[in-house]
Amino acid sequence: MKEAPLGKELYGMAIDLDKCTGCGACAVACMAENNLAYRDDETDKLRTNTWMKLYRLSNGKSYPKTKMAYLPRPCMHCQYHTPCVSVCPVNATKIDEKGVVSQIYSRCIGCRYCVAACPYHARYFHWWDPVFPKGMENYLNPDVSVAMRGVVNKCTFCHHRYQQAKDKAFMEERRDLKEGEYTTACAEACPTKAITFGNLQDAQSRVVKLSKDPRAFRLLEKLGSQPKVYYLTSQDWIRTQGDNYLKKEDRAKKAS
Amino acid sequence: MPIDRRDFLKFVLGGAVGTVISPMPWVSMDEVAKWSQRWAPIPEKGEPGFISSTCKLCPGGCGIRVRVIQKERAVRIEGNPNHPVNRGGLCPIGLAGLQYLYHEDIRVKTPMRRDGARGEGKWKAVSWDEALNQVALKLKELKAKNQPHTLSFLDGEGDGSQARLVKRFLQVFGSPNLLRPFQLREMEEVLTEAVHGQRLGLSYDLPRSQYVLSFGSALLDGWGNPTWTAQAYQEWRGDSAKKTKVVQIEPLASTTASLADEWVAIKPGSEGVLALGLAQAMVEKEWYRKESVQAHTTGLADLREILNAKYTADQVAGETEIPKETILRLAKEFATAKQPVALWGKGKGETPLSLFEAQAVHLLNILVGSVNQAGGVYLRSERGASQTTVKKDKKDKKGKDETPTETGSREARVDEALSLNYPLPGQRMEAFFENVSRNHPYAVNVLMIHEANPAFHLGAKAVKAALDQIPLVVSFSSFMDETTQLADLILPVPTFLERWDDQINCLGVPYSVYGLVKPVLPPLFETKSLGDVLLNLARKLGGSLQAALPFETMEEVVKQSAKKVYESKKGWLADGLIHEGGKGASFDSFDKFWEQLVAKGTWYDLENKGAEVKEKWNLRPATFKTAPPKPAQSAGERALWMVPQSLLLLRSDYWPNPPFLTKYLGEETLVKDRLVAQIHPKTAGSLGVKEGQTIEMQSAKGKIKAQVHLFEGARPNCLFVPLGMGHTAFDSTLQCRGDNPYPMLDAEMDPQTGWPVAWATRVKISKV
Repeated sequence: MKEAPLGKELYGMAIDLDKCTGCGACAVACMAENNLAYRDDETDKLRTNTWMKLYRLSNGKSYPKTKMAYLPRPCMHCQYHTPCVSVCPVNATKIDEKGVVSQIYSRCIGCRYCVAACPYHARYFHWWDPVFPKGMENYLNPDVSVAMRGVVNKCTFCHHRYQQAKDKAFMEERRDLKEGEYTTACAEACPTKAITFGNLQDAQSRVVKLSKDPRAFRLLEKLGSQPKVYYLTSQDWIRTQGDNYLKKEDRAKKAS
Repeated sequence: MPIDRRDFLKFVLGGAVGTVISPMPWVSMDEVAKWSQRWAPIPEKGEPGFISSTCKLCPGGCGIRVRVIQKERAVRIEGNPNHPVNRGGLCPIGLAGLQYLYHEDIRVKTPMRRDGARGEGKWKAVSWDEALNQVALKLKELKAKNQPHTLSFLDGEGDGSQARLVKRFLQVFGSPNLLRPFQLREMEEVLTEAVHGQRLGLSYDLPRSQYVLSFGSALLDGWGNPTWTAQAYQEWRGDSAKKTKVVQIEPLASTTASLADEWVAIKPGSEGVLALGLAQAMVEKEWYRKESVQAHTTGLADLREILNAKYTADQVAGETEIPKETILRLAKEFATAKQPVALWGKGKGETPLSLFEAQAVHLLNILVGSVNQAGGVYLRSERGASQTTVKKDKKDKKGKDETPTETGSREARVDEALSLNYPLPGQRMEAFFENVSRNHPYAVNVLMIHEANPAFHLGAKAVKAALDQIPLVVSFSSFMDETTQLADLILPVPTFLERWDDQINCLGVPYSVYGLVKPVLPPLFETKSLGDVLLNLARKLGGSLQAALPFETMEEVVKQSAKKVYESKKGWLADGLIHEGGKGASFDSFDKFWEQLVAKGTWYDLENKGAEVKEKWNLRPATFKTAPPKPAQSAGERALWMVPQSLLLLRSDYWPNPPFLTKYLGEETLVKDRLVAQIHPKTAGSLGVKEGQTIEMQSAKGKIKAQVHLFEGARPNCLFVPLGMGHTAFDSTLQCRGDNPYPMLDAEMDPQTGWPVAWATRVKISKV
């Protein structure tokens, strides 16, 4: 698979875990924006569809030294040899020149290769029809189509908002977007401003500054798939869990 | 080759058997079934627009913007970026607000009258005229019999014009029986009356605090206004040079405890004692701010005597099971920190706590001089907090000879609050239901309920017993909740997205905010807002009521409140930049102001802060002479503590949990239809229970079932259960899922306030 050529735009995200309180606002905003349905029993977490998943981490120490932390996980939009894109037999998922990994429902044949390939469990398959109880269809967002049964769906970095931002810029006779014009529903909703979304190609953007912060790391970085979601933490135990290191692996060696 | 009859039959039979055995018929049936089913819905497109309003899902009063398609379909709620409190952020409950609006399965769509026995679930739809006439007739009857005091009203709504209208309606009608589910505000009034000599509210300047000492307050799980505490958390963890230290005192590694800088693991129920331990160290070692304490307070000498006698670090260390060094270190840190603040109110602050505990923690704020200081706690009088009231000017009153408190309100309250027995609390909801069930001190004839669900919080049995003594129970509810199911008449009210109202000040925020609530959409169903119903009743009853409430619609009432705001000639409307001070926006006329307020949704004045109290603050050491109320200590049989947990993603008040939030509950809260109890692995080992095993917890008052989840961050010998599950009403995401721990919380009455203090409860467990 060829690497996508880079243009002026490459979108990415930074999530500051020191600021994240695990409130779930990002998750709810995401479900509302992207027309996700819910079922009566959502306690089986292998069956639930949460584009923005909220991991609850524990440092594993016993009372009273225990510490919990939260880690919101959208799609990582891997830049290099995107695992899901490379296995899709029908071109239903693509990475575009802005770095957004898309999912086209009408092309998807439901083979779920991509679900298996994704190292982050960020892809979901609709085993059932999305059901909206009576009246609930009214709040569906007209900018996003509802994923039907039998297709894989996932976080799109709210790609429809990119289109809207571009349209607006075009009406104002601009070619380029200003920082913050295109942002995701989760970043917008976060009450502690832990989530920052922006253009990784713009050296002035906040997300670039955050991605270069000494506290920054990425999940499963060693796979080399270049995820574009950066996490920041000042706590080592979170970083260790995020990198999924084996005990025998030497962290210092990896860092160099 | 001839084909005889036998061959023919063989062929047909063989073919039939072969077809049935082959997958063909099943596959084709499956395909037909799939194709005949519906496809995913396609949302209708249209012109989008934004409408600014205010969230009424809690008393927090955050500014919201609602995205509306074609002016008829609300598709998204987001935070208003120009609002001074939430600044564009919003908590998950507010973001899921449309799930209340559009959830037809749980909404009541038309007025209904009970048809059959109470609680049987048989209803008959009636017209609004018929329903209102029935209520008006009953109220007229009470007036005629000179029993207006037998009308009671239980209102759980946050402060706003509608809530004040209820208050005024009752006052003029002549009933003292206005009740509320417990909120921290009630305790704030009792506390400030005891210490400062006035009934005031408290609010915390959290974003500017530099040392936060929280005595079990679920700061990040719904204490106060969740978005405001999130804003504060952002400041504490921000890039600025000042470093805020957050200390959480709690028996579980909860979200707040984990994300705090320090977690002090405490024995459940001893928070007040710890606060006094810190106070003792501060007073004895002279770490307190002498100028401030000398200037403002009296009673220090007596206080010192009690503290030294009963609350030395050694004694407190024994009681709280916190090392003495930690107590002394915390006392020193708190006393020497810049802009420190101590917080009380366990969990979300929805269950009463003892005056002992609240006063002990407030004492710390007084000792470090944090009262009415930046980053500390502000005293706020209702009038100072806002210039609004629904009271009309005197000249508007027509019937001069009829004074509002003409009859009835001189009668004692049913709940005995504000009486000689219980002079401090403004109301006692639990005592109300207890007294009503034995018709003490007099029978209640009508009970109206709005935004409250006592059947869930006090137990359906206890509430049913009380309601059985009341001839007419009217529920003003948008949803068919447990209490509404027990009513005689349901008058459905619209949600906050379909009506006029306002939010006067934001819960716990130290400045003045006026949030306008306006209909984003016309009402979806045949609903009328509580305010409109009361105005209609006032017109029907005439006389002093009509004179006192001379408004046609709720919109007029809100306009009247907004006029008071306008007349203050201060503050700003939420437009663009957030103004920290200045002389405020000016308008040519009220009409222009109103027009702009309706468009922008919020007015605020960040300069209006603390209320001055002229008298010296009485430290009231008497409170600390007696020990704090403790749950029954029948330790032998019930050797374990059950400690309730508050979660932001699980509403535990009147409002049902929105499905989006329930979806995100983890394995430590709910597994299928089982509530989960978190327990330390060692305790589980000694009890012989395993992960996933079902146990029954029995307190002196009741029992619930739960599934065991081992959690190393739980205090040994404690069981932690979440509050908010176990509804018998609402939709299939909530109905009959988990058990409801509320009714089994073993409450001990606080002798000073008369409130049942129920937090940690003694239980014994058995395997199921």
